[in-house]
Amino acid sequence: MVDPIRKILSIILPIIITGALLIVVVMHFYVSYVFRIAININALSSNSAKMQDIGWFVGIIDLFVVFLTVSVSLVFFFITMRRLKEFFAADIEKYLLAIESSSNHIIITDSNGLILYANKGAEKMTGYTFQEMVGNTPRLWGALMSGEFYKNLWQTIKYDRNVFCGEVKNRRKNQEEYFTLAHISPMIDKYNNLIGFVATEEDITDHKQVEKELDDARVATRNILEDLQMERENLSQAKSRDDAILSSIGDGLIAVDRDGTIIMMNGVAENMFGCGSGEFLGKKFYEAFGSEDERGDLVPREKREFSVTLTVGKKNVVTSADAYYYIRKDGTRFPVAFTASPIIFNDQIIGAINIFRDIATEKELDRLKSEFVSLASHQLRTPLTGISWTVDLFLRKEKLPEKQRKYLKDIRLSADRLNILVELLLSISRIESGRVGVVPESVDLVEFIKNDLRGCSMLFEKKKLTSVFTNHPEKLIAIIDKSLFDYIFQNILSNAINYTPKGGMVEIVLKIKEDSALLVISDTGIGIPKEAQTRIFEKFFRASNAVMAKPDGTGLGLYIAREAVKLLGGKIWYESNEGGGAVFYVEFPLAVKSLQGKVGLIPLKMFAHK
Amino acid sequence: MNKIKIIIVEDDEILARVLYAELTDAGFKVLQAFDGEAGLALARSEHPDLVLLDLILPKKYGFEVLEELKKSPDTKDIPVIILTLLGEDEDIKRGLELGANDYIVKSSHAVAEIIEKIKNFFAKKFNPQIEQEEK
Repeated sequence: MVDPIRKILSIILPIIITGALLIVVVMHFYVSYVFRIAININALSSNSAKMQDIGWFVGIIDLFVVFLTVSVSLVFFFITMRRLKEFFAADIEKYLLAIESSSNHIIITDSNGLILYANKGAEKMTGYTFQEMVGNTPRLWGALMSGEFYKNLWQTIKYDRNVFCGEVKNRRKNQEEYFTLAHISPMIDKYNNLIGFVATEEDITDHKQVEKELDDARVATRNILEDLQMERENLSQAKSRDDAILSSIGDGLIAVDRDGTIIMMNGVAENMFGCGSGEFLGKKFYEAFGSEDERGDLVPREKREFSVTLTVGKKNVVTSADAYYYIRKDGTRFPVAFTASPIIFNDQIIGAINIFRDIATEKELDRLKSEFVSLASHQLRTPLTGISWTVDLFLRKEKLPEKQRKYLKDIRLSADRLNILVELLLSISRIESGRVGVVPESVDLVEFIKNDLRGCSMLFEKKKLTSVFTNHPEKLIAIIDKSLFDYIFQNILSNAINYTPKGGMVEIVLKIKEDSALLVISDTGIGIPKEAQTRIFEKFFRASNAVMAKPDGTGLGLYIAREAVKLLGGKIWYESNEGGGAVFYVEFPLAVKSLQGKVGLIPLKMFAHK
Repeated sequence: MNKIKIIIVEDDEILARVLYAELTDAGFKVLQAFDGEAGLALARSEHPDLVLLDLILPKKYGFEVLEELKKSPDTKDIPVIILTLLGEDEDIKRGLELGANDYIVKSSHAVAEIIEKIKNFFAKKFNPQIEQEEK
């Protein structure tokens, strides 16, 4: 508020002063005139000469005063004029100053584009001085855009007389390129002549850079988003595929997390349990379904497959061994075979998965099979026993000629052989159905073997074979299943006797090897041909030379013997050359493990004392 | 002295016939039944000194016959020897648990051995000293 007042005062005051002075001069003339009349009157009346002298003097001083006053008022007049001029000139100067000091690049050209004016901003932006620019066109720093661009530019400003506005790429004097936002306007005078152009340009290089960076960032973000989206699609596709794979498993599948909460259950499992889709999800497995043993006793939670599998620090894979039942939603039960394994992620157990199937059909088949075998063998053995017993009775009661007795004995022998075959088949069926148990008891094997050898001394005598059993400890107490050991020993020994020609020798060696016992039975028999060596323990397999030596062998003995050795937790092997005898080795633990089973092997009856 | 009375409960006629002949020749009085029910009835009425009991029998299984014999105070003291073809340990165990005195796996023995076994059984029964000696 102060400035405008001062400005106005600075203009008005000189005017007032000038006016006042002029008024003073005019007033002076008037006063002087009146004064002169008065003097003249006085002079007429009195001392006129004197008065005339005084009039001269007064006139000179008066002239001097008037001159002074007029000069001073002239000075103030000029001051006023200048102040007025200044007052009106200030705005234009300000505009000029504004243009001059604008940081934007401003140039004025004539209608042909020749530069008439350029401000400091233009000098700074282009790097050229005003002197360098004058007389040049803006091509000095421009001309980097396409021909089309410039054509359009000139069309707009020169012919259409419109404002052109656009982004322009330029090059500074130091060859550095930069971008500007240019506004070029035609200047039209009051006679509608195009007299030139004014162009302002704003450096938008930084802006463009930021924009470019923003754009880059946007593109990058979009790429990331696209990647994410793609990844998510891939993941969901992979998940759907995994889900499809899991749900296509023909067996039941239940997965639980670390706490035993069911997190996955496929349709097969849901069908087996008779529950709705997803009904068990989120429940603890032990709340969702129970499990029982054969007798119908509930399996306690800590012994359940998942509990064992989830035990911290262990990687327990649990497979159903004995009869195991799951209880359906309706309370009925079904037998299962399952494999439960921990789910390991980053070395941590994060849950467990159980694959299981309903084995009702298999159990039924198994039952039918063993029922069939035992029934079949029963059916076979009854008539066989009938034959044997009747022959026995016949032989005892009737006094028959020797020849007829011989025939009857042949019948008896054949029936016996058939009986043995049935027994072997029954033994195989028992082994293969896993029903043979191991009942360990304390046995002195030295005494046991001696006893067996005594029992078959007749067989040795008949073939003129020597038996040697001298290489053994005084006593060898083993915790072993007597019938299984007996079976193995008799089997190998009878092979040695059967396949060793007259006059040969069978040697038995028994020794302790750390916590195992080693039984060695060697003979001087026909040996095992090379081509038969890999197959000698196969069911029904018989080596060619064995068939020649003993046509009625079954090919089952060594197979069962090997299975029996397995039951003892031992191993059996041999060394042999065709014609060079055979050495069979049986190694087994001194204390065998007990195994629950329903039946034993049917003992061989080659020895009289049995 | 009265003859020792033995009842054979065996459905296979041939086996029964051989046993009958052998046991009669060995000096026993032998009665026969060919199914479980008849065997049980015969044992109840005749009070034999021994029942030779097959397991797989028509009408009534051997185990049931055995169970019923042992349940009744009247017949629980009649000795029973099981005749079996199965030789399954479980059957033998079950038979002995139910009170059978012994078992014989038929197909594992010549008939003479079986007769010998029965003779031995009575020898032990009437002369416990033999059992003592064996032990």
